[in-house]
Amino acid sequence: MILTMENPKEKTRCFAQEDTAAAPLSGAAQKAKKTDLPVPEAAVSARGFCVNYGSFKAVKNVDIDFSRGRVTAIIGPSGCGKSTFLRCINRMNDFVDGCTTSGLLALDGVNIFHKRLDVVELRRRVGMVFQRPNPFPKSIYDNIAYGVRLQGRIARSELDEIVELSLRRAALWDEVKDRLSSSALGLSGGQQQRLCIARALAVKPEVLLMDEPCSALDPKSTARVEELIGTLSGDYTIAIVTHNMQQASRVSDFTAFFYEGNLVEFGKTSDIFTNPKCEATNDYITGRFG
Amino acid sequence: MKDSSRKLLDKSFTALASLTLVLLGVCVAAFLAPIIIRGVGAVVFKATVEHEKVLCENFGRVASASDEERFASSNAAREKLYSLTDSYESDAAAQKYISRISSLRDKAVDGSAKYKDELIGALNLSSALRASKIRKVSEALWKDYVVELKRCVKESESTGGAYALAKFLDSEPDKLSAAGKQISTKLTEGLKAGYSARSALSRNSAHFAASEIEAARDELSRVNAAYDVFKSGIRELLGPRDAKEKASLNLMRQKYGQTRYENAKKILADDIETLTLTKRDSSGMETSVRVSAAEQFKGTPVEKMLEVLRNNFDAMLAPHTSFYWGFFTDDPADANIFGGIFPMIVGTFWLTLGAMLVAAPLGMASAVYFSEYAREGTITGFLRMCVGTLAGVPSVVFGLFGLAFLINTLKISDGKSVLAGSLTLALLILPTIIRSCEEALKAVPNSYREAAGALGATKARAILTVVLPAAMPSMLTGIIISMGRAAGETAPIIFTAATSTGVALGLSELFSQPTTALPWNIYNICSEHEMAERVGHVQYGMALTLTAKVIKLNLAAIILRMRLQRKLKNR
Amino acid sequence: MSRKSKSLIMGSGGSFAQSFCAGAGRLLLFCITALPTVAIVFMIFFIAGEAMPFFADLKNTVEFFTGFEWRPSDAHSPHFGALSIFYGTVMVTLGSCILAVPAGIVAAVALSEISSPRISNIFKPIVELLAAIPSVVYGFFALVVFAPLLQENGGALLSVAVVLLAVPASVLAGMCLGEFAASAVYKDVKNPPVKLFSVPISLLLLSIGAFVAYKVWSVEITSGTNALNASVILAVMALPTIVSLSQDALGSVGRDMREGSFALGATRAETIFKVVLPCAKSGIAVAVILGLMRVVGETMVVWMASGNALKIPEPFYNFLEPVRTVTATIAGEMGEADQSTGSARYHVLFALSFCLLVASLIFNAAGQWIGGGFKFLKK
Repeated sequence: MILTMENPKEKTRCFAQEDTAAAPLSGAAQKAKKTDLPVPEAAVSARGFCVNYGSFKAVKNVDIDFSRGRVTAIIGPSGCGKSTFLRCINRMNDFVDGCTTSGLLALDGVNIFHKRLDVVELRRRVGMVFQRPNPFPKSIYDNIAYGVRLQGRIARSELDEIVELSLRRAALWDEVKDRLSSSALGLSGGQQQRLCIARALAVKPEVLLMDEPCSALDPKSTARVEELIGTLSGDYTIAIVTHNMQQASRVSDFTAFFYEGNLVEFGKTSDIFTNPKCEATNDYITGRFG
Repeated sequence: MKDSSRKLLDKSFTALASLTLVLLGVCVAAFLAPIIIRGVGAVVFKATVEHEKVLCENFGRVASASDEERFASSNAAREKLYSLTDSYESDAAAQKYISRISSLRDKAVDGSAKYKDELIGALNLSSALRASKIRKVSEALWKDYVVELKRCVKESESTGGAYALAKFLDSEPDKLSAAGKQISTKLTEGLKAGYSARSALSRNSAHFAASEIEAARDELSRVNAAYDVFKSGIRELLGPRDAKEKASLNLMRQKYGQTRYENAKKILADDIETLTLTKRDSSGMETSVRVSAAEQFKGTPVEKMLEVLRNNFDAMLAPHTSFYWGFFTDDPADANIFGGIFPMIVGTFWLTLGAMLVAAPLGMASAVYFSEYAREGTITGFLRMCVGTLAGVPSVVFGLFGLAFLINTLKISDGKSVLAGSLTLALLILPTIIRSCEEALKAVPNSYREAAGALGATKARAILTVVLPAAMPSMLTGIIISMGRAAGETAPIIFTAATSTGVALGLSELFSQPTTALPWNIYNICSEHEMAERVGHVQYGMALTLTAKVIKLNLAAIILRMRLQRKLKNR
Repeated sequence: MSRKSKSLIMGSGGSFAQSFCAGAGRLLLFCITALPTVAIVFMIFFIAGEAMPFFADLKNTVEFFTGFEWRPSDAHSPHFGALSIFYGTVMVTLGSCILAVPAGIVAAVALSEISSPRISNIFKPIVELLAAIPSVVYGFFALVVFAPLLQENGGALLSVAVVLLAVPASVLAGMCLGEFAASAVYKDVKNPPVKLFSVPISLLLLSIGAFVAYKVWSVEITSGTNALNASVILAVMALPTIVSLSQDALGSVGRDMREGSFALGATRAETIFKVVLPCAKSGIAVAVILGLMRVVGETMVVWMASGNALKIPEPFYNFLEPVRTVTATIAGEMGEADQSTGSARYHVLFALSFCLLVASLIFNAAGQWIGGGFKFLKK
């Protein structure tokens, strides 16, 4: 999956030109190495990545690697830039006027902000689940099939299969199999969120971004979604932004702590929560601020 | 300020504001009530038998058995009146007067010999005296005749025969001069008098009687004129008497009586019970005066007719409550006096449809541009301002623009056409559609766009598959309301599409032909119809049809919006 | 896994094709969006173009704006004095403003500040209904229903209107003046006897109102189609615009403002007059201007209801006489004028409509200026 530029003369910030994805990394990755955990190949990597809203610096100079097939939690107080960072991974920042980026952000070694990047393909590979469940005002079936249909005509039977598989993976199949053609808006909040996850899974992404997926859900639904994240890890690289410390410790393998746009600390979840290196991290996870 | 008066002021302001609301409600009610009540009358009304006749003979309806029965019974009832008028007008009634007058005329001729001596004596007198003498002789000669003439006129007025007598008197001057000639012949035979005496005598004698006849005829024509007015009122009411009379008439409105009971009653009160007569005063000026028929015809046979008419009014017209659904599907006949408003409805439909077909896609596309693509900046701001400006241009200016640009410059058709009208209307409603659609698109939560994008949809794809469907109900609301506006606008189509009369157009004629349309025809029938009072029901019917159409569209929009709100609430 | 092998970075061809398609689509949408702009430009161009032959003659132009004699189709000596026509428009517009603006604003205040949401929900469709009714139906009502009513019972109707106006006005004015007078007379007394003043003042004003109503009762209206008729109906037509836009403006005043005022002990009326209305005044001004535009541009109602008499009423404020407006003249005479270009009348009618267009553009610009539509110029 290593890309060579078609026009090497062009001065792009393509990560692949400088380095290979598998190459030893500096900064945060180095820190990760010290934890004795075998580092799987990084699916998403950032180097010196910054995001500005006009003159406001929302994300400052972040270096991070999301390991393939692992769950990485991003925690931090409100407004620390964690959601902004997450949304950049599948270029959701395009929807925000006046948002500019600098530095490197790469998926499988390909710069996400390359000017000829196929955004559509990127977003297919990097799925996203939003803070509030946002099913389309269509039937359950059509919601799941939406992303699949975007990629061209597909046989009905194949589509049925994908829908069922996705719903099963999202642990929603048993609840909705009898009413696939009814409106998705009729589902409960938790069901809707799992539907959104199923919808994201249906296009077979490699990376799944979750932006506080449980913040609008009740505890029971939250538990279901967390359970779901557990079953999905291994197959998908998952990045989850959360406010909930317990949740981060429950579901994630790695944790990154953001504060005022900076990546303060990144490491194995167990290390972060038991033995944080920075004062700020300690204060945050023990609930002194945020 | 004192607290209590502050509170009082507050309360009275509240009361004033509530009063304004009540006034607003009253305004709407006062506005809609007459239109609805009288508009319904165009369809549901008390129809006379003439209504069925019109329908059967002109609009291809088949008379049912009960209709036939009503035709027969009403004809029978009318026969009574007609027999009275017949006998009133018949020669037989006047026969006795005629014979009396004729015989006296003959008697005067025969008795002229009696005055021979007096006349001879008169010839010797000086001219002034001679004239008065001859006049005196003539008076004596014609005395019986004149007295009888006056009596006959009086009598015929009260017992009938005035009609035939008047006709007879028309020919009487000729007969009189013939009689005059006979008299002078008789006199000259015996006298061998000079030519001058003979001619003076005959002229004077006939002249005297002729002036009496003139007076009698004046008297009779006054009576007969009133009777004629009365009779034309009856014809207005009941229509022509038989097929022969009907065939001789040109206009359809003359061929039938009143089709609506309320109009019939009005005719009875205004044109029959009260007569509009022309009176000539001393200076020769003609003025029209209103007189009561009962007084005018007091003591004459016409009084009987009036009574028969009053008593058999319902039997003659056979009124019954009728539902004339054909009002919406029949072509108008004789300047909307009969028939329905089908071509206008169809014309309005075509104009509206054409305008929507053009304006809705364009408006939606513009709205998509504004809400999804445009970056707020100078150009977008300018475009937005132009939309606002276009919305504020007076509708009559749109009409002139359509005329100057579409018809006179582009020449999309020779003169007015549905196409030109539709395009003008489309331009008129474009800003409204753009605004409402943009609002609808802006109401679509951003999360839909993000979710679609996150699933790998391109922007266009996301708009087409998620944003537009989600916004569709509220976009439709705006479009439907604009449709109502397009249906009701008049000024833009006056110069581009509307014509006063015409038939419903087919699809192929839309590009070249002008059409009738409800809004224009409402104006037309109210302001420019020559018998505005006779088509009151059509006026109201058209106004109600148009209002109902627009209200229906708005109601649909309101219901759509309410369902949408409920759906949003449920989420 | 065939899909996965698709490269994330597109080839230059694919990239070009994609951005070309997106750009072309965007351009198409832009062109469609520019349509109203093009229409406005064309409209000005064509209307001005057809009016030019008339304005080219200076003598005619001067007469147009200063003369009273309007005989555009006279073969020998045509006259184009449109002043009485302009006056008719101004008169009818002013008349309907006097009626519609206070009523509309008060109704909007009532709907958004005073009445319960349930009543507001009932009135919302009613106001929309008023806005939706086609102008020709209003004209129909004016001509067929209202004009005869006015002609036959004009005096009675007018005096009822006077009474309706006089009662609340005199009560309110009496209270205010009484308060004022009482505090002026009893300067040092804490609770001056306000009723002592307000009741007589109210009664006095009421009796003046009653006297006027009595006088008006005997007024005879010779023609039911007159400036009053047109003004009343136009006011009803302008109401929904004024009410709904003012309501929007009032609604956009924040809740906290009101609550702040109430918390300081203000009554509802005081809150409305001192806080809410000043905050919403630009929105209300826009509402009034848009309502005014509807009145100025309205054709059918004035054509049918104003009587179309080519003269300035005597005295000039006499609303009971027929007048003629610009729009009615255009609509009425263009039908008769040979529409296929050329005649003097054709061009002078376009000159009239050019004036109308310019007026509407000015009104619109004023409205947008007040409403903040010109923000883009300040950037």
